[in-house]
Amino acid sequence: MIVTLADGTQLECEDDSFAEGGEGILYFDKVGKYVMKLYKTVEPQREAALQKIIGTEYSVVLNGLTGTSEPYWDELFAWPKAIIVKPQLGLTMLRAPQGTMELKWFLGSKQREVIAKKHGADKLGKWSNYLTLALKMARVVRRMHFRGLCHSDLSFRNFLADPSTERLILIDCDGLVVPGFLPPNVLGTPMCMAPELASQMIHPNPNVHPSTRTDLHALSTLVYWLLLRRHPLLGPKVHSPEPSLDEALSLGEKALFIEHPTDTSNHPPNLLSYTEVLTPAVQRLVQRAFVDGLHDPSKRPSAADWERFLLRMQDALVTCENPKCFLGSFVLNPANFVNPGQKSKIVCHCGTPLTKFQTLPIFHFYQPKRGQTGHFQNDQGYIMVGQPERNLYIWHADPAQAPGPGIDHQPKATLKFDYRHNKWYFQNLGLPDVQLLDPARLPRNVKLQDQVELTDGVRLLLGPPDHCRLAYVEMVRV
Amino acid sequence: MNLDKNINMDFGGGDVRRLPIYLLLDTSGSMAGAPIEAVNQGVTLLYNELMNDPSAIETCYIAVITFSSDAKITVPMTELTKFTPPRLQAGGTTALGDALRLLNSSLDKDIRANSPTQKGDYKPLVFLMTDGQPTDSWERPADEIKLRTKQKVASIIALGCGGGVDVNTLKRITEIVLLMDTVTPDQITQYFKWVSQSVSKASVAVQAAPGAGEARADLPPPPSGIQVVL
Repeated sequence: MIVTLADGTQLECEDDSFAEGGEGILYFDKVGKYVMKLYKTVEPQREAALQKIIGTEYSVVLNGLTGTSEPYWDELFAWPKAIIVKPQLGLTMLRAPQGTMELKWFLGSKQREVIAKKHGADKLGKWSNYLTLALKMARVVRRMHFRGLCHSDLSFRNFLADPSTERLILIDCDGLVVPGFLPPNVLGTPMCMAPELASQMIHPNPNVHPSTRTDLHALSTLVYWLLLRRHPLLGPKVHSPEPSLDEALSLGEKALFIEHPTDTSNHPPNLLSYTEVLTPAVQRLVQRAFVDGLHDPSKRPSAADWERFLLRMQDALVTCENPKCFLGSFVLNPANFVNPGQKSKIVCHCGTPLTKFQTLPIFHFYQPKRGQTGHFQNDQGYIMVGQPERNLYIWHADPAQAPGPGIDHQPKATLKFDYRHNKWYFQNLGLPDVQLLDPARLPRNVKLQDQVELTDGVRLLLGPPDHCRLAYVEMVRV
Repeated sequence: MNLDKNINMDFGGGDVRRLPIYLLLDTSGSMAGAPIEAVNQGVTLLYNELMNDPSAIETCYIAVITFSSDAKITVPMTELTKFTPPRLQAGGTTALGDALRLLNSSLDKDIRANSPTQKGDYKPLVFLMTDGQPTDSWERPADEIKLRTKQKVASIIALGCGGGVDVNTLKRITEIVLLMDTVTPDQITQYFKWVSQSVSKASVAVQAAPGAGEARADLPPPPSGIQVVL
């Protein structure tokens, strides 16, 4: 079949569709680069809405100022690229990368077993890969919300992922809500619906629509699910003896977090709690999402909050020494410093202690006080745990920077461990004006390629003190 | 520790309700040859399709009850991922009554009840397929089954294959009756494809859609050549 784009270009696509949704029929192009969606029925405003989504004002895959294409975002969004005018209205989107599958395959133990049998256990990836997927998911939602767009159906069906390669891409972006244009045509996927939407499965309310705030509930749900492999609201509490009504209530007006700190009526037995697994900052986001903000949308954490603190959580991961550990790595939290009297004080959730190192360096980050050069303040408890080959990037040094298009993603410094002498080193790979401040000595410049030993109590100034962070290094006995 | 344990060792919680599926399949002599072969392939197709659907994998359990001169449980209620499609052979008469009795007792035995304190199963889906008139007494078990569907304890979809079927018999069992006029292997394949779509749809929709499993509203349109008997 030949389709014609709005600019007259013709593309050849397969004659047989590979999927059919409520709104349209999907085809692959012959080259394997694009997916074509042809609408079954055309709503009057559809073409105008598509033009908005493709244009510079709203397209998340274009630079908002220059209108040029940004490959960084093309990797995260199967965004509509062009409008098809013949044989009927439709659009082209980039095809999701090979190996990505519906996220749902990775969320439940039965599906995971099937994946392991079919593709090998490596396909499931490690826990740290899921942290990266959660971070990318937050980045995707933040990008849309900053453009004023609401997706309205963020779910395990619309995120395709491959944990083993940490690829994640959002599909089904043509139905999203453009302000002032087409209203949302779905409430969403039940398991990811915000309570105020899920309630409508019982009592329709024409005044409550999907919005960026309901998107944020879906995001929080998916992040929690990715990191803890269970749904945050579906616990043992029964609200109705009729199963589907029970679920509508559990997700809707009676929704109750399965780890609510005071109301334990929905607590499943034997949980590995989020308070043991996540960093304190991410724990606070979970509380805001499922305790404070569950029934109060204004209190929900933003996508930018999730992105910032999930990114920092990567720095708190410690590799587990058990090659068969179900996690592969864990967050170094006070909870892991238990077992007094045992050989190692730091133990993974699988029960394996750390033995390779006698000490671990912990970087306590402080951010510069604006306008008061030389003064630093606590950076919301941000810490980085030293691991061999752990890298620091520009956003570690400069709190105004964050990963994104146009940002240097090359390592700017790295940590090294000398196994023979049991010593930790910091090596500067590209940060200007790094200084080692040792209370017992004069400040020392750490030039490019220089490496300095990390000892308890030293401070590293990661660049010019007017805008760069200071790290206070604590050596923790393992 | 073995590898499987480490894959499965997890964070706790996440128990999911079961969606029980019963296949009630006629294996009487009239099904011999191409039809029973098509049914065998159909069950395999159903299994393969569901194994490609993560929601079905999460929730579906399947049981197969076959009936000829008498009825038997060919595959007891099994988790989808542990299900093996059986090899069915045709021969004998059509003990539909016996099959319905067995279905009734299986439903009583298999289904985890919902109560104010316990999360039980979703409403079971039963797919009955027959090509002839019952040769045993079937009225009483049919009425008992119908009572179940009235109380919405189970959704039963009955498919009559060919001209030898009395629609009124099926109507006495369930409201949802489909008819396949010409029985060809291709039609049977199409039917099982439709069953898999129905199950996939249900395994997503049952989760939090009150009234889901009001089966007629929720079933996808049947393939061409199969009509809904109103």
